[in-house]
Amino acid sequence: MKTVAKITFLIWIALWALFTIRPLVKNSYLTQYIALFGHPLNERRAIVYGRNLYSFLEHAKHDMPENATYALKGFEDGSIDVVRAEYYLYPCLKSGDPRFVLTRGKN
Amino acid sequence: MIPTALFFILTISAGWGIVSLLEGKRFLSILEKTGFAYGIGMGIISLEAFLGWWAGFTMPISLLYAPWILFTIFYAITHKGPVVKSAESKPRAFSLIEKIVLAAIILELGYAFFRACIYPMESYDSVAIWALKAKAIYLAQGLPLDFFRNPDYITAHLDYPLLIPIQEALFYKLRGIVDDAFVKAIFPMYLAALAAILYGTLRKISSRKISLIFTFLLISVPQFKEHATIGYADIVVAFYYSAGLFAVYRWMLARRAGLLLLSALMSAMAAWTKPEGVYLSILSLCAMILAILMDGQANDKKRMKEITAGISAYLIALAVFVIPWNIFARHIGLTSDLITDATFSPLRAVGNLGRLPTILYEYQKQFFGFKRWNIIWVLFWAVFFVNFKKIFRGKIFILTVSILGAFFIYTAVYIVTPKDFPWHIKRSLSRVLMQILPVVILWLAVMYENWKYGIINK
Repeated sequence: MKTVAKITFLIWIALWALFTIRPLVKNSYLTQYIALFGHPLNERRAIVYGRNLYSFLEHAKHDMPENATYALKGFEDGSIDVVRAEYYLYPCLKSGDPRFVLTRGKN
Repeated sequence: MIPTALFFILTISAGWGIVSLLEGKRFLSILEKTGFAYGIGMGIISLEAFLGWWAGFTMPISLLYAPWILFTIFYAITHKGPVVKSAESKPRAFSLIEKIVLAAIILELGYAFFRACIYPMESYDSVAIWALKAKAIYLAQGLPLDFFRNPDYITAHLDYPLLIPIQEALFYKLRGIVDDAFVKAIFPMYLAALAAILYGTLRKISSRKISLIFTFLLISVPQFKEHATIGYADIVVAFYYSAGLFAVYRWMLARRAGLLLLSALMSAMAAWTKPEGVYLSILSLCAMILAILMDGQANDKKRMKEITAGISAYLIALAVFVIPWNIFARHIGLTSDLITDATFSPLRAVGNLGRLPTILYEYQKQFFGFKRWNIIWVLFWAVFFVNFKKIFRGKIFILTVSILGAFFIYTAVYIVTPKDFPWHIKRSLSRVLMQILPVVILWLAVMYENWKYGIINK
């Protein structure tokens, strides 16, 4: 019984080490931590969101009056970029009858 | 950093008095009391803010915390009762293995705080559901009714309860800006609090070494620790549901009435976190009733009295934490995009039974998903089937029934869900399984102790 418990624990430790260390390299967590560390929040947001999306949202937010309504074009429906955009642009509100149409092109 | 520390100190101080009151004669360790106090502080402050804003008050943040902290101070001054000391008169020095496991726990918790705070809010649900509402509440300095009524935001699950968004908004208020990186420290703090409560519970049945090892097992599960850093609410539901159930288990060991009240409060807060918390609190209530019925030391009259008191505590706690939000949601016309009137129709359930093979397949994928779960589910099912005759006897019965009950509830929900079915289960199963993981860890620890001593009544 004791041996079974010890072997189980050793397997656990091996997998724990593997799945803790592997994402640091495979998912580039380590590179991301180095890139993010010490930077102000907006810079970190630009890194995480992607520079293109972030600068697009920055411009949109800057150019729209507060509480304006908008619609997004050039975004995949339900994608992570859409929810990040809606979150970032708030208090501007997405709307079916928008005052602004924010179009993201390939360039 | 300082506002984050201040936020935690205020929250724990606010909850400390309530835990002390429920505890009565002191028997919780400082560590587990801190864990419970954090959970209760988060729950009561968010509810107070919600009720106050709904009633039309614009409260400064100090006024939210002040009554609870004053109560904590008052209670501490007026109740300097004796401490129930552990059987070990002099604490034993840590062995090498204990030091290593403790270091691993501290490392995991530290890493969780680091990872949570270095990324801004960016994961799907954390942004779409929780942080968006938190930002709206912070900017409105109260309940943003126009936002809640906006049909364009129905996918943000506007009908979900507000514990997390309100606490995030209060953090912003304390910080003075929408700092959506440091605010995520809320989540690893729940992980730390859960680890403290689990360890405290394990210490009642196990040695320090075994308690540390099983605590480490919980916080080293990749899915669990990852979710403590990304701003999803499932770790919070896991905390409240498990802490409530652990309190029921502790009651079976110590029979202190305060533990049942603590359990009721924690379970109700699970329902104030996410809608599925309601089902889990009902499960916890059933576990409590079973625990009392199994109490061999009590006569029928005492049992009846305890059941009545326990049920009343659960119902009152649920009423306080669930009813106001539901009245508010109905009042302003919030609807669920997940649950409709037709969802729970028996005909629909029978018609959807063909989903079962897919559901079982998805469960299987999780159970053998070592990357997410290490070997926890394989271990659980192996111990489950090898000891099938023993797991429904003794005190472990309560934990077994709770785990199976949760599987039953999740399966039933996937059968009746009106959402795009395969998509829904693929997207959510790994998260809902997390909610019962701490109970599974306690179950395994109890089984281990039973094995070690060849008994089944731990």
